[in-house]
Amino acid sequence: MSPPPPAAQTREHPHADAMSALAAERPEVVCVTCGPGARAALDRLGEPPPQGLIALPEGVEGAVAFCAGLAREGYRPFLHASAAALARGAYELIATQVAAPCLPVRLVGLDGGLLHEGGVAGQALEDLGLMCRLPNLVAAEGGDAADLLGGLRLLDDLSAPVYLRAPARHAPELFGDPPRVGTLRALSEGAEVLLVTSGVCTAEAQRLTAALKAARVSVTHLHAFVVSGAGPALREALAGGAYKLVVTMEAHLSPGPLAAAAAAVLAEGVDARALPTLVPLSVQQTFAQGGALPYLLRKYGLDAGALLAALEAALKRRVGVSAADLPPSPWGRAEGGWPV
Amino acid sequence: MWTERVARAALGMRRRAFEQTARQQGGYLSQVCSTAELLSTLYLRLLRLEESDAPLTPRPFPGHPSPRAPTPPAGALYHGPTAPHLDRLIVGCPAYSLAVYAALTQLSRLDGKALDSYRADGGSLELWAGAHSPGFTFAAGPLGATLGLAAGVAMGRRLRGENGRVWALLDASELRAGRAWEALGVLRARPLSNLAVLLNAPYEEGGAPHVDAFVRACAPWRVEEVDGHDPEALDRAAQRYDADGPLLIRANTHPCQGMLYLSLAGLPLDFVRFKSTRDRMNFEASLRAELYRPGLAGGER
Repeated sequence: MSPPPPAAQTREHPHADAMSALAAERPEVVCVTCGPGARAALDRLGEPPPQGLIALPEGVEGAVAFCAGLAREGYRPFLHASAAALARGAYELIATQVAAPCLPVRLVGLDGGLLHEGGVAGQALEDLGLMCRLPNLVAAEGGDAADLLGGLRLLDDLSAPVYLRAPARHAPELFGDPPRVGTLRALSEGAEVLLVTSGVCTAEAQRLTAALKAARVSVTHLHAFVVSGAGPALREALAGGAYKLVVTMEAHLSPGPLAAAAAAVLAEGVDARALPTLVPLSVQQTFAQGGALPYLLRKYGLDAGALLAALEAALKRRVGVSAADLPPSPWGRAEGGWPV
Repeated sequence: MWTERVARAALGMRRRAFEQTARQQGGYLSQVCSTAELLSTLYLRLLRLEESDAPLTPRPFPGHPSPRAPTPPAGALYHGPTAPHLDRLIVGCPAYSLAVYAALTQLSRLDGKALDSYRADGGSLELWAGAHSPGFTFAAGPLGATLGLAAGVAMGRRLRGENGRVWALLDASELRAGRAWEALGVLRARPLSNLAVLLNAPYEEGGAPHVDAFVRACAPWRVEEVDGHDPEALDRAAQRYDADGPLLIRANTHPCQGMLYLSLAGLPLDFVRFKSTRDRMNFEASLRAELYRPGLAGGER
């Protein structure tokens, strides 16, 4: 039996590197941090950006209002704060003073989903769903280093306000090219299962998809960087196909934005040769405990093993893949610094 | 003399706000009482503004901005064009909307009949102002956001090297919200000397511990305390600059200034409203007599 393939490489601080490059290139970009954790996450900023780094103390509502003021003056502030603080503490400000006036404020929610080790207070499991509910606001989630390195420029080109769920420190290197808005990144093509993933779940799904191919399970795997407004891209992916299953996989409270979009598309009806069954994998209506990401993904049914089990249950057959066939997860416990 | 113009404008504001409140059978009248001299002094003496760029008759609600139609805040056009040497006024307390509309009307930045569309369906003079409402750069609310918004504007202007001032008119009730204190943290991290904060402290709020605590927290910077109904005192305080941080002017005011009947009748001051028709009729008759009694200077038109 051949050994499992190696884990994907990881890159340290891809978001900080992308932020540094963007701020150096665009003088109207202002880099703002809220709290010492967010400040530490950007310690890697190389050359000081033209406008400097505005390091604000804790207090995310004041920081969001401050950034709305900056945006009114023609700047594009990138406000870095914990995803939980932005989604829970500042939602009213974001709705009223960022999304409604359509100001180009870029909110970077650090360590959203299960990336945060801090349990219920640190983990924003609902951030993307809440942001997707706001008109005008574009919500995205970085799933690898290329998403973060190339995606920041892409998001800054938008005239809309943006929320980006980003890992504070490291991310795996899964893709070679930057993402594109309005399309889902195709990672594999198949006819039986349409698998749509985002964020940390994409690497988990990729651990399995190579083994599935060897086991003759035909999977189309799509990765979403921009998770809001995914309906048209999903409809396009389903058009003309004969998938038995649509599986969504998100580190998010159920239903995640991708599951919600897929459900809406299927409910509206699609021009497909067969109506697939939707299998939404997400955190099932519970707050999570604290811990390292691989443990949490396993516990809450979002790792490669959980995906395998869900596929076998839905397809009603064993596919002949075991855990020993899978490479290790590229996501590990974040080292250095303290939680954002 | 400019102080006489301020007095006439403040009286005119009170009359206009009273008429609207009577017509609508309720309104944010107490906030007009406490801010009439503050807003009149700002517009007539302290703010460096050009003439309004906006129509005298406010346009209907234009719709909220979107990526396809990223409209700038139409409300700010009533303060004229922006330029590096000109000032900005940021008001964010939702209950001040009527006061700002009345001030703009009184100072001919809005048509004399504009207030007739206050709270009208489809109009832009909304009960709680939006960024499309005359005199507002940001939507009013949530409570306590004003200081952070103004700090961001001041930061943007400093980054561009502009020398105009940013004025933030705060209500003391805003200091009950944690986000106002968070904005104070922002200012501690980035002290902005181009920001002037005018804190309206009506006595019922002004005596509250959070107001004193806020003023103490601003003590590293220049803090002035004045009678908010004394335009000359306001003018003197506004001339102070602190190179190391913002200027805070605590303006002690009376929530029933110019309308003592409000105090005598014991009407609720957060939003004046009536329990009965008799209450309302007494309100109208008494305040009309008080506001239009002989000897009072006529409201400037």
